[in-house]
Amino acid sequence: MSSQPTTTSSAAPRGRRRIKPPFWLVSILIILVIASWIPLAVIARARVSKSPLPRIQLIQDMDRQPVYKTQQTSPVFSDGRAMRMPIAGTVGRGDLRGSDNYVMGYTLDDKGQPQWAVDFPQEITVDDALLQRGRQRYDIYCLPCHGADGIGDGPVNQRAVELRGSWIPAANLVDAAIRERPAGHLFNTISRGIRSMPPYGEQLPHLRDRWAIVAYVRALQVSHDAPINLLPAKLKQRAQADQARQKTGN
Amino acid sequence: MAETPPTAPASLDAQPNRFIFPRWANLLLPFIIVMAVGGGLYATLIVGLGFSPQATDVGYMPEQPVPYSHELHAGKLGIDCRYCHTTVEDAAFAASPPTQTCMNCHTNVNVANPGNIQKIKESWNTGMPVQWVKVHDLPDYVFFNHSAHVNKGVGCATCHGQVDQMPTVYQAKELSMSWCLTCHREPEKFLRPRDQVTNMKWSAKDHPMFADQPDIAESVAQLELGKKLKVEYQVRDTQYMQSCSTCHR
Repeated sequence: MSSQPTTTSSAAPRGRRRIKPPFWLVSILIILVIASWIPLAVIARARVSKSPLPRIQLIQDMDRQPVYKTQQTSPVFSDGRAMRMPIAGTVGRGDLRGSDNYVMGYTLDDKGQPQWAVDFPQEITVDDALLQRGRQRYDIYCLPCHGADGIGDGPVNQRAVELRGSWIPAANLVDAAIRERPAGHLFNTISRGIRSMPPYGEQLPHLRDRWAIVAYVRALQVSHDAPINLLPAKLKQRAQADQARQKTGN
Repeated sequence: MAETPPTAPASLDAQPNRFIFPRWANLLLPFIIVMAVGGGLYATLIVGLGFSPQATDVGYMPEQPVPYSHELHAGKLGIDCRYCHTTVEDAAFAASPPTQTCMNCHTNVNVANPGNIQKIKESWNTGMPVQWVKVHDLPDYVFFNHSAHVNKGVGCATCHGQVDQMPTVYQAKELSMSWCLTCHREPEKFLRPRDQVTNMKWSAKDHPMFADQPDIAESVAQLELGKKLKVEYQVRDTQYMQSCSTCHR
């Protein structure tokens, strides 16, 4: 026991100065430190990059249940659709509620010939709300081809003309020929298409929306060469200023 | 083995076969402490960064059967989202369009890459649907309703990102529960006027309400407008919005 204090007291100052760890311990430490960057790099990449690989689900929970949801695929049916298509000619409940003019845009006369609804059907009241709705729907479904003001220069039409396919340019909706068409004819054109224009009935399932578009097209036609006197005061000033500038320019 | 009398040992080293810890063993304790503390921090970092939906979910960009470009159609041509995703205002599910919607234009359009259109035409002729891959997919126990959000002024871009700049659509937002709750707790920070829902370039400070304050900060404008819209659109109170059964029915 007497020698022990002397050993520690002589060794301690040396230990405090420098204890050399063995090579393997240093190696493990270095390897660990370097390796620890690999997961970090992988994570950093996963956080910023895009990948076609499926999402990583660390906890499955009941995220994916063996049920079919909207528009999923099923091996049961030959076309791969889990949802079945409605039988051809199916009419949704309530879809035919209303007068013939409202539902189709025409009535059949005694000889079975269609008679276009000249004006809006009784179910429709043309007011500001209808026109605003019509404008909104027009901008979604019609503007791509017919253009914002209806003259047929929409962005899709422009591009299709540039690409020079068998594209038939969209009609000018403010043209005299279309102005003279009865409202029911325009409604029917939206519902079922005409010549190279495809039907938009599927995309515009609400009949009121189609009539709203007809109303807005009528508004475009009126606005296209509206006399200056009909404009609201603010626009009137602008239009008159434009006219004055054109005159002086000429 | 004969025991040495306790008084005898002159030095411990003198005894053969006796294990003596090497001097570096003194380093093990600090080494273990450093590893435990460092490892703990490291694990937190890995779990925090690596297990977050930003790493596991965001950026999912599946290859589609036809390389349809939203950048061209929604961006360059400016076609409204609802031209194709027609059900979004009326139904819970914003349906992918039927092949007929593609054919509205592509019956007669000559395109740069006819091979792609060929697949659409094939689908049109055979009636076999194009099997688009769903990009934004919530867990099956979440009952998300598109119409409820779109009609209360939540913009498409708020959850789907700048789709008009995506040649191939990818998941831009986390779509995790905590992410959903940021809006369910403070909807005023995200609401916009209903008629601007599909506008990809919308910003709150451009609203006519702030016409006389051109220098207003976006966040300030958003908050002011959002509070107004929240009342106008009768957005439910935050207690209802955070209730479990609101989303998990």
